[in-house]
Amino acid sequence: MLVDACAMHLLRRPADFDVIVTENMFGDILTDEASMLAGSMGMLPSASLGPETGNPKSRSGLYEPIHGSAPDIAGQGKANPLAMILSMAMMLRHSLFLEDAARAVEVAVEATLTDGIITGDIVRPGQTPATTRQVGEAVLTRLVNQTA
Amino acid sequence: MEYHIAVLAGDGIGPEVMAEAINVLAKVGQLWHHDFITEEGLIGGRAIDETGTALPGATLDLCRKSDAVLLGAVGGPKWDDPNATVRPEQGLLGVRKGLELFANIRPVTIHPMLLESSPLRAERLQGVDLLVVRELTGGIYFGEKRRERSDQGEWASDLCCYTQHEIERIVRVAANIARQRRGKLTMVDKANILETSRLWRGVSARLMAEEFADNCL
Repeated sequence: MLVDACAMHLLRRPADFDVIVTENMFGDILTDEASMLAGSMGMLPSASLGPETGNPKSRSGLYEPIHGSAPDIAGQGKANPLAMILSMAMMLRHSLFLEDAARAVEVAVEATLTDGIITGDIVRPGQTPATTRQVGEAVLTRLVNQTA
Repeated sequence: MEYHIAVLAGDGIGPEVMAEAINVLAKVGQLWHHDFITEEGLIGGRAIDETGTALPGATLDLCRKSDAVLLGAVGGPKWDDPNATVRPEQGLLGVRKGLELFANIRPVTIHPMLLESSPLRAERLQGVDLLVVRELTGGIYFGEKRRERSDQGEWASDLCCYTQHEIERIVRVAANIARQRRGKLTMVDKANILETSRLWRGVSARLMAEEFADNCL
């Protein structure tokens, strides 16, 4: 698909895409466009993989949320930890090949959102925001309950 | 199984979101009976303050000997001078280069709770579950750069270059991921204009036929 058409289709029919592969500059632009679909940057993880070495145990990779360091809210317990937790889940999948555990963490994050335990960046009017720690604890509880 | 994880919490909210991810990782270890041995390294602004460089040698060594690296976030107003010779984001670029991280993977899914925070109408977002695999170490960002003066004034150029090997390894990453998802892979290029795009198409068509023929991608 040509990049100009892809930029349009990402807005017109985003659910039709599964995996997109592209070169460096087009990817730079399209990843930012695709991220905006989600509304909040606080939720999105990323991975950067190194070369395949034939090591069956692990593959080198760096895992980080796409949001920045948000110095204005640092140390106040307001930050949304879900992008970091989802980045860790990507590490389980892509570097350590622990698909079951990765999926379980993702399901625990989904359940936390469904239960409305969310930080101020994504709360709706009238909802009480949870702290960074409360959201993290909620994910832990749901992870344990799932596997019990 | 025992895994070594490098933990680079970084600046700003990095340490507090990292703490939650590490708690969850420890729980995964308990539940699935793995030993995750985490070791912290300095990166970004804090590393500049403590060592004078955004990526101390000890941090890169730690990343190299670990099975994987978790990074929080780097940067902040304290280190924001664009003319400074040491800048926090050099730490991240240094890890990318040092570990030869060539495949950037960004999934996008939208939880029903968050449909209303998107700038698109909710009905367009039903079922969005996509993932972009971006080549990260080649192309026009890393090609030869020139800037010169001629009789007609200044001119500049950026060279876009890709090798067969660079294309094969990124397409292989994307195809393997697609195989574990819904099996649909879209290659995005500008093959009506760019020679590098035509090489991408040729190389990936051959690779898909040779290595992924029976996966209906």
